[in-house]
Amino acid sequence: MPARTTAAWPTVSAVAELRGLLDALTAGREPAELADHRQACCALARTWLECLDSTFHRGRAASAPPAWIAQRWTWGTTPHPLHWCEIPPAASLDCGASAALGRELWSRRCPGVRAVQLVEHHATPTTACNRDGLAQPWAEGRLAYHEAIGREQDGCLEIWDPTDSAWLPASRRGASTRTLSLRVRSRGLTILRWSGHRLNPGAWTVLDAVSQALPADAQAPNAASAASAPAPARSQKP
Amino acid sequence: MTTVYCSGLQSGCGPSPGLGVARSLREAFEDLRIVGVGYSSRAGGLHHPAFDEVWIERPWSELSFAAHAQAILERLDAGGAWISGSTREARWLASALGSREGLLSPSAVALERIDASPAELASRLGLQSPPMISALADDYELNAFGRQHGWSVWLRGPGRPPVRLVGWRSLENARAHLAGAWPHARLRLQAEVDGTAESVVFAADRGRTLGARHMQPGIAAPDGSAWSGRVSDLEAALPGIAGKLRDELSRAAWTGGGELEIVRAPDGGVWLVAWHPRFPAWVHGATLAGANLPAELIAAATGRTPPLTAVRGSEFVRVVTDIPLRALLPLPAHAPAASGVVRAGNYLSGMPDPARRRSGERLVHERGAPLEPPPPLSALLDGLPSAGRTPHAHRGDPAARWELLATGIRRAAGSLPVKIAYSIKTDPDLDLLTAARSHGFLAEAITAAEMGWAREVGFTGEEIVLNGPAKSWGAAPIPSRCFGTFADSLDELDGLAELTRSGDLSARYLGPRLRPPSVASRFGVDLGDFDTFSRLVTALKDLPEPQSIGVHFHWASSAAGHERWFETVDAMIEWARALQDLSGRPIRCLDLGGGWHPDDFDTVLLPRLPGLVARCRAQLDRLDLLVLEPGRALVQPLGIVETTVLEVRETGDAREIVVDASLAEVPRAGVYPHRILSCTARGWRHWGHGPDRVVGRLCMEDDVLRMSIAVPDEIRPGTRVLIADAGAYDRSMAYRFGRG
Repeated sequence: MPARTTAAWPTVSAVAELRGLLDALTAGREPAELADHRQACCALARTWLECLDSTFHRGRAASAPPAWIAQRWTWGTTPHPLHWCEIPPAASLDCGASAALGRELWSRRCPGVRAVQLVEHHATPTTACNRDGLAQPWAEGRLAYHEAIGREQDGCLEIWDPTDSAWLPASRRGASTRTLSLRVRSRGLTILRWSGHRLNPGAWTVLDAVSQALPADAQAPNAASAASAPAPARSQKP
Repeated sequence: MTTVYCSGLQSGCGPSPGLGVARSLREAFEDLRIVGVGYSSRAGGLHHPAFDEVWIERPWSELSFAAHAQAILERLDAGGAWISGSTREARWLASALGSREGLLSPSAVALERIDASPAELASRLGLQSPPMISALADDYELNAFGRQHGWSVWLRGPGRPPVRLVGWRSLENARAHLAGAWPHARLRLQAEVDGTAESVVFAADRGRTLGARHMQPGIAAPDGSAWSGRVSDLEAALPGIAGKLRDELSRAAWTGGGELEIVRAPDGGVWLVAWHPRFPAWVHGATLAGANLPAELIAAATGRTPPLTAVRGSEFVRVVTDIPLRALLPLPAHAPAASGVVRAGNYLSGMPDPARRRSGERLVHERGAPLEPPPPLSALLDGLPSAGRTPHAHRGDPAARWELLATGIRRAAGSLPVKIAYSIKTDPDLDLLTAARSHGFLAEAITAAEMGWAREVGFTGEEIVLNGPAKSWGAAPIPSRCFGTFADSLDELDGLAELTRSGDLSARYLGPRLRPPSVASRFGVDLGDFDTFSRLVTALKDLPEPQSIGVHFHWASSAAGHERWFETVDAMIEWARALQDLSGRPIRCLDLGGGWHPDDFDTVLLPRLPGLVARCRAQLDRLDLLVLEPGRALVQPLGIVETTVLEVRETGDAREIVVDASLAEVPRAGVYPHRILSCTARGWRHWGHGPDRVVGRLCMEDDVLRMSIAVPDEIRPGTRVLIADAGAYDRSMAYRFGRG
């Protein structure tokens, strides 16, 4: 019998269940990478994208993120691996594609750019499938796997969400979307600080939101219902 | 029982804060008697059940300020409290009532502290201040400020709604709207800063900060105001500001609510755009997030216990609901405004449009003294013969200016060969074309007629650059030889390439006019479109092998703003480099235009040209020529229109003169300020800033040659005056109208 919470705070078993769901969502997941045909098609596309970034970035600090990506491509499911030459004609990009593209472009002009993987909790009701009617292996109930970009400086991490074109707030208590768990890919072994948390490079860090901040109505579905649980709505884009 | 008066009850799109204040107070103190104060029965908030009673005064334009002040005083003396929901009302209260028990608004001293220097205020708060200039500056400086920032500029001032300016004429119109109603002393032009708007609400009691919260807007209403937002702790959102704001409120001995309007730039910089002496409209959103600042304010003022406020969420959204009108308070029947002018925004009757009237204050516009013209203009005037009949268009000798510019350009270009192209469209006068040729300039033609004029004065085909859209000039075919030609589209580039292959066209440089994706323009090949970019690479690759390739870029710096112009040129150079790398064809020539104002060309472009050339050479390693098109910078200062005053009209404090020149002779009069001069005992002087205007002879409403200028006392009918800066398009676009 799966655990259920009846009080305002999740029970110990509900937390364990959440952690299980987090593990299920993140198991074997690596940050999306852009593939290259090593032919003229990808060289042309890559150059064009780099010029676009350079144009829209003019007049801003080198450390400023590629905010233009979300203005150019709406969110939508993207087949992976995604090649450079498939980006210009794409009508939409998913979070992995946006993050991979943003990471490539941002790192050309700014050191310390890292891949960031997250699991987020969405408070709003969800729908069964996305607009394309495809399965969503990145979502479990109100939990969704997400990718973003980190910028590491002096041991501190800032996280840019290229899909929403916004910095991930350091604190999102009470907000409709919360980060439950994240992993930053860093070449170094230095522990990074983000939003009061200490992040071990390469390892998933489960934030205290899981055990402390989830109200009863925001808990994840139980294991039995997870398979048929409604998936995140359009606004909860990965 | 305490009675609290809340004003600012406009509750439509872009609402005032009065209703939010009342709702917050009602939640905290059930026993309060809350009175909604409106200056029009159109203010929808009056009908909300949060109010126990309403007080509707005469419209601001009809109000007796003395009587109104007395009425408010009586209520305050009776133990009432007043929370103003209007910037202008708060300012009026400070001047009319001073600091009073129960008046929960900042004092005049506190307002002076925040008004005195916006830049210093921002600095004290640890924030950046947008570039700004006093609206009292000379028109020439104001126009230069507008050009510098690409006319992404606001006209702002304490207590009045900001006006977005889009060009010189819009500034003149805004000033005319304010004339006689509001002093310019504190008005300023403020450059727009790039970023996202955020807001800070705060409240203080006699300098003691009662609370502050930050709000990041989510959904925006059509007018740009926040329709939803996320409320957060101020220190978390803007580290370091809370303490500085506390200090500022303490030093100002601030009482009342307030709002900081800020912009967060993409690079993290935070700009202070405005400080308002009243709560923001989203004040109840802060209450929902646990910070009931209106209630804290009342508690501090009345000695009540501050309320405990439940946190119901950190985000809020507005919804539109229907509520019944109060009995005996019907809305007035709709009638069109007599003036036909519809005003909008926060001042739609919640408070009247306050810019139209200010209590009891009579304004006297200061007349700026005539000014000595700068040396180049002085030199031009010295050699000017008097015209027999007016209006008469003089044209000065270009030699001195052109020599100076050509030397400066060549020196700036260093070792990179440079050619200057004379844009015939700026003034097709044959004497000027002849002078251009004698100075070694190229001629840039955009029509068959222009090409014909160039040939007429001796330019050979190899000295002509063909530009502009669609060079299939009908009966006049493209010449077989030219210095360079730049295609405005891919289709045109294909056609020019075909002519080159067939031997019908021989251009030393051939290529596209480029349009980087950050430029909104109808001209050039759109690099922001991947298919177009891809086709352009192929087209360049396919050009006949011996053909040298050039690229052209033209964007008016006055429309772009200086920094953005340079940034965009840098971006364009990078695109050119990409085209070179992908096509395998070197870019040999860069043809650069810019619509530069003469002053900006001399003081902005030339000093920065060496750096630009260095960046060109770094990116385009095969570049062997820079073509520079100064455009109107070459000829605008050379034109002077001499005109005669026909009539002098005195109207109150202002003076209007009618001259025999008009838009027909100065068609660009509304585009930028032309200096107007008259002869004094000390020589020619150009007129200063003032309340007067100069209008033309035509029966056309827009025949206004200058506004906000000081016509000297000695000007009489028959006086000759000069309109300077009337070369370039004022000459090439001049037309015959009303002259038979």
